Amino acid sequence: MEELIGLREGSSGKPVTLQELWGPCPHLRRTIRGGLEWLKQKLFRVGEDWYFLMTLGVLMALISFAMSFAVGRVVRAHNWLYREIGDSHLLRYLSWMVYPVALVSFSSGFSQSITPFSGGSGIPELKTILSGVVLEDYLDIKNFGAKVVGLTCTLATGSTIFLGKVGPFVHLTVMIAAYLGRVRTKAIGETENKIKQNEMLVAAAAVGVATVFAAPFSGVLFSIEVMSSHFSVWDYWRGFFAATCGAFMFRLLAVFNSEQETITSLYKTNFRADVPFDLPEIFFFVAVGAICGILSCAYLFCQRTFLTFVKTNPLTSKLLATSKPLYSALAALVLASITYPPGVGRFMASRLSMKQHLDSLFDNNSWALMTRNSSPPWPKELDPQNLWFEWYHPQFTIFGTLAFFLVMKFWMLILATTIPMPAGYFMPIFIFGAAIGRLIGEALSLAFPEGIVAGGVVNPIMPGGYAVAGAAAFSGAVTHTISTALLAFELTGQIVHALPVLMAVLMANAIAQSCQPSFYDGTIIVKKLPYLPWIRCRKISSHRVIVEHFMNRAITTLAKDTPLEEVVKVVTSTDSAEYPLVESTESQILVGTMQRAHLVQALQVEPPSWAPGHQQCLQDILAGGCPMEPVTLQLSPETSLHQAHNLFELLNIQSLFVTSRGRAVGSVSWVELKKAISNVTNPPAPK
Amino acid sequence: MTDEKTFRIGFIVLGLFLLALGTFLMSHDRPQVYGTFYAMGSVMVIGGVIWSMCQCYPKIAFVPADSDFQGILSSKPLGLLENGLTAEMKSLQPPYVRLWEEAAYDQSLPDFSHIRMKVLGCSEDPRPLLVPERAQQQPEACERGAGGLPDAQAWMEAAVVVHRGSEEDEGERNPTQSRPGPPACPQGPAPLASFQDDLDLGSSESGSPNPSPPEGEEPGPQPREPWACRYRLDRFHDFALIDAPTSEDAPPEGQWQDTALPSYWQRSPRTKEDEAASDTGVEEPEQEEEDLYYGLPDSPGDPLPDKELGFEPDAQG
Repeated sequence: MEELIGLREGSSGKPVTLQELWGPCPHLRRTIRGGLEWLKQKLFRVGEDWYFLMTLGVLMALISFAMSFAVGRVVRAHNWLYREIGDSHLLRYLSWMVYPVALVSFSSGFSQSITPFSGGSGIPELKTILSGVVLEDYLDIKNFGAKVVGLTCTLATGSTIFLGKVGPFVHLTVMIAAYLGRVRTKAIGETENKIKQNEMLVAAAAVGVATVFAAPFSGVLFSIEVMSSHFSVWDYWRGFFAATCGAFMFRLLAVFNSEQETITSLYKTNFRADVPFDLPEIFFFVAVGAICGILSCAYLFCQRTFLTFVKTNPLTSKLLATSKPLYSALAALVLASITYPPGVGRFMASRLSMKQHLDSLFDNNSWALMTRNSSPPWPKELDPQNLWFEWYHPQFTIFGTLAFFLVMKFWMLILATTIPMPAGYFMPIFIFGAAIGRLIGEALSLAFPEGIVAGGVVNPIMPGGYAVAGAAAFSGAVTHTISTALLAFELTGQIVHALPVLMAVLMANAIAQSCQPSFYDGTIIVKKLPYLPWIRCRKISSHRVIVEHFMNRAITTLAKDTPLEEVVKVVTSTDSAEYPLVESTESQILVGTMQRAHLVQALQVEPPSWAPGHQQCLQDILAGGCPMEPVTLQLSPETSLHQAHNLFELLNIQSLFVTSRGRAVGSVSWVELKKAISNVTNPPAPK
Repeated sequence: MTDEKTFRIGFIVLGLFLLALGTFLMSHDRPQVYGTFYAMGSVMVIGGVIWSMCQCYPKIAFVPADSDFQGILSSKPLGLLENGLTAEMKSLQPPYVRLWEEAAYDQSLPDFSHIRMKVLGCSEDPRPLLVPERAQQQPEACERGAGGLPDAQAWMEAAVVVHRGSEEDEGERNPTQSRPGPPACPQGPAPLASFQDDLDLGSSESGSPNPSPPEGEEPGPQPREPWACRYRLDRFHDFALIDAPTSEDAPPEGQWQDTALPSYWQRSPRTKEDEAASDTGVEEPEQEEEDLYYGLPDSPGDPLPDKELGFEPDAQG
């Protein structure tokens, strides 16, 4: 609509917009507006993006800190209640069990009632969004409150439900970034640009991960690995800038809260720095990586299968469809009952919170050696100085406890991932991997009490280092990323195990990537979100596949001189969303595309009367104002599969038309590409 | 500007959040920490509240031009409009009566209690420009209707053409229905022309804006609706195009579609209630003049959901 302008009656001069004339106190508004314009000009000389990125980083750090704070308070309250409730078994069981059940069902019910998009980790959907697909309403700001509340409740259950924070927090960050993008568009006064919006979202994904761990480097790298296939260096800088602002703010708030003296890492370790490991130990580190890789394949397979089972089983799917909080409450009941400390939980170190799990597993002592002769008591309350006492049981020893922990947490975690509430799934697998590494390290420490290199200086084996390697390797294998190695170092603050951990991660990735899709890709597959797979097979033969081999030739073109009746017939008989527009029926030169909805609307409009005898054709509709998008990119039948794939990934395209000498001969979309890639990777048997 | 409303609310919420965080961080040996948070939080809350309050609009009936004014109108097309939608619009603008209030300029909120409104059908001749004699200057900006009647009252009749959008009274939206012509004539008492944002239909006399129903967030003004939902469906069809041939079962995609489309359609009954609520205001123009608000005549071809035109003062320039 045009902007209406007007003049005051009797005054001369340029007409100004009516909002200026009719608003209350226009002088003041003019002054304010002028002041803001001046400010904008001065500030935004640098480029307005940086301010918004800084705002994004700081804002997300504040939110993350507030959530941690709230969670900490709630957990303290629960611990106090559990302590004070006395010795009656029933009461203690109830206090242990009711709390996570209530929180989980509230989290699930509240977030699902506001939006169905709030369940689960947000990363698979974000990956889809960043690859160009538009998911309606996924980034709406009104999902923000639901997700924050849901996530806080999920985190408040702690290690009973054993879930983390990453996924939903990244979703929150991307939502805020989309919102700030609109603020920026308003502030600058420019039109919305999808590409710039996407840049902001990519930076936001990086900030989200970095803020959760207060680890800028690995956060940005992790988000790149998980959520993009191509990443421009420009987005890299923006992501780092925002992530650094966020990490700084987060740690600053921790200092302000008197939690710490200064800015340190989250799970500080104390490994000896001079000779942290012997050279032969590298072999064992790689073995840890291999074991983690195999276990991660098992985990991914079981998790995907169970998720599909829950969705297809009539009982659970009905329960999920009708009453999600009930399903969540039941699952939480099972999990809480098993982790009840005086019961089975005694063998799983279930009194430890998630942070305490990591702190104890990264402990720099060797528990096997320390408990060989003495038997430390199980304290009535958690001893913060000796957290590892939780892992010791007189009959089972630490090996039994660790093994039991691994076995039970495997299926408990898979069960927890099916609960429809906002939850992140990275931290639990990080802890799981740390337990795997710890178990192997303790076994080695028992086998080689004096260290591996006999004679000379004695360097006992440090199982803590193996735990770090195991954590990085398992989580890297499950998510198909390598930056978890760097994450492990940023979290622990020590980089002494750089090389062995990296080798373990590479080994685990090699095994996992050749057997299973990653956790997030698996979720995309199960949820049937659209995605474009990578071309993993790079054989020479794959480079010979060209577009002509796999394009979709069955396209219906609309020529400008097609009579309208035929156009109607075509539109009603096919159901594609856009039609290629060609110059004429004989030449078939592609000139543009028409959207189905516009075409349908234009066809239904009463056409003005024409001279009788003149047959109306498509050209008339175009002249009447039906919009046509010009074609900006075309493929040629000789384009190779790799080139086409790169183009699709780089530019976030969904479909392109194939033209040969200008004539439209086919179309390529994700469907055809996926089929071609699968044929290349698993060649069909020759007939 | 539906977006601006969320920005204002977001600003206030952020201020409250900072206040809460400052309370968390309160430690008596380091007052500068929570002092900073409190200061920032309160500044933002107060700023946000003032910004929201200053958004209250004068409830004037504005209906644009006679012929010479049309010239000025068309000479300044909105820069933000793109690709030919203006062409669509121009052909559909009905002739309107322009109502001109001198009190509206350089005044605080104009007070229309001295004007008796008479609702006309659109077949009436366009009235000439009316100039009410308002002697009063009201320096206070934001109290709408709170100021007393100006002393020099000139009672006059203002011709008001109430434009009834064809889309406002439909519960169902047919996205493919074309909009070839403007609504010819309002039938009976016309509902308020909707102006999709927080222009508070039938709202209070106080300065504080009452939040309009949450539809304000999404582009949903009825005149823009068919275009907006076409746009939405287009995006959807992209999505469906990718996924349709590969997946074996339709329900998951259908699920995406269902979640988006119904949520979108759900807003229409809500807005309809809103219109209905404000309808009553129209019935008694004499008693409830403050409730009357006639936005810009949204011609049915009004396309862009998020480009606000006219009344929302753009505080950021």
